Amino acid sequence: MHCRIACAITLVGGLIGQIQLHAENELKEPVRLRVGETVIDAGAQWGHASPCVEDLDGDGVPELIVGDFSGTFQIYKRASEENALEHEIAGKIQANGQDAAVRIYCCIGGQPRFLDLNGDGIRDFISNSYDPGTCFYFEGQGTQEFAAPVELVDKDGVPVRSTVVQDEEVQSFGSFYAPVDWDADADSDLLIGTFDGHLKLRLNEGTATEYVFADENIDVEADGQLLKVEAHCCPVAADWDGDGLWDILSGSDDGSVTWFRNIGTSTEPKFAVGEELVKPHTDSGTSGYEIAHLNGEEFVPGIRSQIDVVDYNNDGKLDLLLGDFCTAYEFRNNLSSDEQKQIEEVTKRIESSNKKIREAMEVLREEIYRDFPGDKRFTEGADQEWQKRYQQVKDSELFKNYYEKHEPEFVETLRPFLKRTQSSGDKLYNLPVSHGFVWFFARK
Amino acid sequence: MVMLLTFIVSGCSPPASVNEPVVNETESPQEPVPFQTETNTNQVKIILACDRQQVHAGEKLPLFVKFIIRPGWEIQSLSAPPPMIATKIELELPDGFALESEWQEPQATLSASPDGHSVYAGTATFEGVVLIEEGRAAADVEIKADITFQACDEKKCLPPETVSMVLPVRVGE
Repeated sequence: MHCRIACAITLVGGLIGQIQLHAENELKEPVRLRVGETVIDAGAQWGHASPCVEDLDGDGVPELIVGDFSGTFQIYKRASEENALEHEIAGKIQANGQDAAVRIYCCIGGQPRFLDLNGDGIRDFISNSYDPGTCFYFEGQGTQEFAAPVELVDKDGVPVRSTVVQDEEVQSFGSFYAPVDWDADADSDLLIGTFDGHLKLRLNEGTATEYVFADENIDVEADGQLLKVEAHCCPVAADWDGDGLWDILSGSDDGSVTWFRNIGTSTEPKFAVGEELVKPHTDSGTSGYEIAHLNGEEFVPGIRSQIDVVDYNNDGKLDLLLGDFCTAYEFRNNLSSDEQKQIEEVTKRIESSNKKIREAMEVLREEIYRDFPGDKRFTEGADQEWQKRYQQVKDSELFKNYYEKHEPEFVETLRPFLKRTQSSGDKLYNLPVSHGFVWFFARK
Repeated sequence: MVMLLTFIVSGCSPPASVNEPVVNETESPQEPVPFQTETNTNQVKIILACDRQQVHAGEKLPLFVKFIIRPGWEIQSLSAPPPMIATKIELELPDGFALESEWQEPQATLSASPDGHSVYAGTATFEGVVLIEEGRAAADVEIKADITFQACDEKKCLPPETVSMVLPVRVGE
């Protein structure tokens, strides 16, 4: 299993960067990768598609591997070597005779990253997890099989994670891991993207054949400040501008992708202020949920971007693969103009109602946090006051109207127009369908 | 942690003996027997309670599960679809006891998460009625409940938890 093309650059950056790269960072309009005529969609697994590229079978044509909310890793083979857009389903990655998996029940997709961590010439992979948020190592066995996952630990036996000394077990939940040779010593160090959007480095103090991870993290900075994306920092190291130094690109909770140019040296990386390659998601004015497409509108990349950077179309330029998440109403085809008008009206009303309720809830939270700052929030007094205030909001006309009148009306109005729904309940939340697409942004 | 508490479940008429310890007369006259038990997790306090300690064959016994959820946190509704971890209340009842109908849920509210799914926050009390069959022999018995829930705030979720609670009840002559 050898990675034929630019995924190698992704992993070890300037060391083996052999492809002539172009400095421009403009991307073509994204298209979704497909299986036949159907777009790849991890929606049935609650989306959070997390793409990665690796030549698993060593045939010189890289496979697309897509992690998702299920914590497993779906393999897609290209339909033909020349066509980067069409794929065939090729099962799931196997580890110890079963579907390789990490534990996820919130917020992210399993993000595979391939490397040869133990230098045995066989490709391994690592993946993040939501819980416990540590890095799982699947050692390659050489036959597209991988060993059962083990948690990577530091030289003291403590799991490698974003918060070294944890006060609470949840502190490292939802971290992201990506290999990089930070100090150009030919072994794999780890970038650790945190749930709150920061980036840390865990150095490998061992060698290319015997990894030994340091017992502390180093904060990564950009432009003299802590490197930060909105949240869910999903990093990749790749030489985006082709200057011989690997850069950092990161996905984000808001769907954006940011490029942090390496302006240091091969042994002392240093990063410029981030440049936005993909804007935060906005579709139908939503935050990625309850998207309502009418009049033939098309999807755009959603939220929670998890990315890989490879030359996916073999044109000598690094491209961007972006996995996402969103929920959207799936309307019947051939809606009449009157029906479309009804939908537009009701979705506007839903948006307005939800906004008012959210604002009321936000005020409630802000006030309780203000009145009970810091650790006072964890006192009996804060608990009692919260129960009282929350009940007042629940008893308000705004809430009663919403739950007793508006929500049932919204559901009743929308349901006849829908081709399918996410679940069978009678709440608005049950109606929109989840998606997890894989977007291909070709480099211009 | 099981302990004797003042009866505080809302929506339930407190028993006449609310200010007096309930005494187990058969085992140890000095030992109070709770008709309410409580357990605490990081973000949620759970109370399992019934409105009296002693019942008789043929009677109905109202049962309550009350979640007291800390500021900024929420739990999923009983009907939350996957991948949400729905709150679940599973009873293990003594012979001759049966839950008469589905749990009555309180009004759910919108999650602080932008997807707006249904959750409980603040206080949420679930009510059920246990029917004791005619002819049920007198005895000291236990109502056991395994309660599964997941606490989330607007950004993240904690691991799902299942807590086991036991409520002693006496079936009188």
